[in-house]
Amino acid sequence: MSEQKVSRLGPWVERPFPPLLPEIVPFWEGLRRHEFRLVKCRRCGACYYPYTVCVRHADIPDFDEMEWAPTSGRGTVFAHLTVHKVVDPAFQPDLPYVLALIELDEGPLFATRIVDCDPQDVRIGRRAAVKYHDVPGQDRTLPFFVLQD
Amino acid sequence: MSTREFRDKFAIVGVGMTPTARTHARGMSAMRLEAWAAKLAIEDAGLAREDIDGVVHAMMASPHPPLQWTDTYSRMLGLRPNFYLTVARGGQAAHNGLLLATHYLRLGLAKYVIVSCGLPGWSASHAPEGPVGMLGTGGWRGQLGFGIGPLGFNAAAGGGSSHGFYVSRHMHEYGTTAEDLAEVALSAREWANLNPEARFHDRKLTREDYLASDYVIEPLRKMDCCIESDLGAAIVVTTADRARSGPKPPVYLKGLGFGDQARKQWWDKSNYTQVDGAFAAKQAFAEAGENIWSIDVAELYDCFTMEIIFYLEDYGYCKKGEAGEFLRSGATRPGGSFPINTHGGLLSGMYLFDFPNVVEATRQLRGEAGDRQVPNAHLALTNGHGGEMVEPFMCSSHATMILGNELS
Ligand SMILES: [Zn+2]
Repeated sequence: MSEQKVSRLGPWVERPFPPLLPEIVPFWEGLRRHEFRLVKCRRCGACYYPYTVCVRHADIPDFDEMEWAPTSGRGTVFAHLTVHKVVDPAFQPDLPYVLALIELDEGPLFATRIVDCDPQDVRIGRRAAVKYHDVPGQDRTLPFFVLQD
Repeated sequence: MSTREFRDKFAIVGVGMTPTARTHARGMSAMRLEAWAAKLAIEDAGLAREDIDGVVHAMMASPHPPLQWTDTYSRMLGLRPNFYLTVARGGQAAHNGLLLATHYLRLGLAKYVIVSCGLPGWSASHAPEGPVGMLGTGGWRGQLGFGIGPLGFNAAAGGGSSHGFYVSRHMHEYGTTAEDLAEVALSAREWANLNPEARFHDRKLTREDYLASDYVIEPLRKMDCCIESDLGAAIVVTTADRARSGPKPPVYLKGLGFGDQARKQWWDKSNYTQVDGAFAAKQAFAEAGENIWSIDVAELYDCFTMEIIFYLEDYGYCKKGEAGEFLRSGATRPGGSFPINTHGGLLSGMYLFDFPNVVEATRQLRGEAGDRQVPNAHLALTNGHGGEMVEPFMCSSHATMILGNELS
């Protein structure tokens, strides 16, 4: 790989996002602090995303036994797509862009965009890590991922 | 569910579908399309409006006004049902609706129930001001609020940004190729060429056309994605005894089964290379007392080409990774031994969730399918798959139904 490519982001990034479920807010608060949080079981340490009550026990744990905790923000590419056409013109400058499922090292799959790459370089099994994108002028950080060598 | 309680106890006596897949229906609401289809179904059943005493309205994964705001369309027709209920989960909404309808019939709460749906899908995505509703810029897959949808999932057309992951994984694990997917698109188009109601009735498709077509969401080409239609469809269902007094041969409900990948964890890897068809089909075939090889014609939910490959493998017609070979044998095409999607499917025929599948199966079993009629069709298989598209897991639910024109 030669010169580091930097993805273009269209004007979509500046518009307001839809409201979040209260249960997912701590994830986005973590991103603001550049922490990649998953829901962790206090009993056994198993990690979940999105919010799930731990399934490894005979009883159903209480909700307060699940807590958002910082994790590695690393994983491998599990599946990927390259978007060539959009119905939303605000994404036109981004094309083509890569959507992926990342199998996080802690287990869960995380749907995201892989940025700063040539789409042809994205392969299932490649290592990837979170890249925090602080949206200028907004109280929001986006959890993009980038390929790692 | 035991055989005693379901098989041959209920029958479809009327179907209606608006003749709008080719013309579109600009200016018509979902309510109007649904009402029009209901009128056609009631007439097809030889009934009058006062005979309909139950209405089940089917819709998308979740309420989506104003695109599919049809509560209650039945007023527009002057129907006076004892109840009007809504079922959802989009791609399997017709099957869900039939499940609900048969319970009302069993309880004696209604004599004739109509299950119906309407959606101005083509007009919504071709609106002068740009795509609206689920197809538009607001997006909808982020609506459950995990916050990922706006990063580029909702901006990609239709459900491709979810379903494409299936294709990515199946190609990776089983070596499925674009040529395999092409077989599904070509088979659907050959059938559409025989169906004057199909959107692409008068347009041929070659393998070269397919391979030359642009990627929308790679590895999905345009030809891998279902079309959009302005369409209404309706099904009248009643008890088997009552059905026999109607003007047309009854189409008996023989078996109905349901599955859901949520039986596993959200991120179970197998969820990306199969649907829960094996689970749903097992129930449906056991109830019907039939096996997959006794099916004469299948009308299956081809929202994307890959889904047909899943069904062939997960229902047991071939092993995982071998659907491409099965398709290349020509079995699914006109004249083949296992005809699939004789209406042209959602890929080349018309889109309205799983409704066209049930309508077409009924027509095939009545011998009303014209140039595309499968000779001696006695047993039909239909299915649908639906649910929310919320990353990382989507469209988890599955429904399978067996229909037949003879009593077991
Ligand atoms: Zn635990």
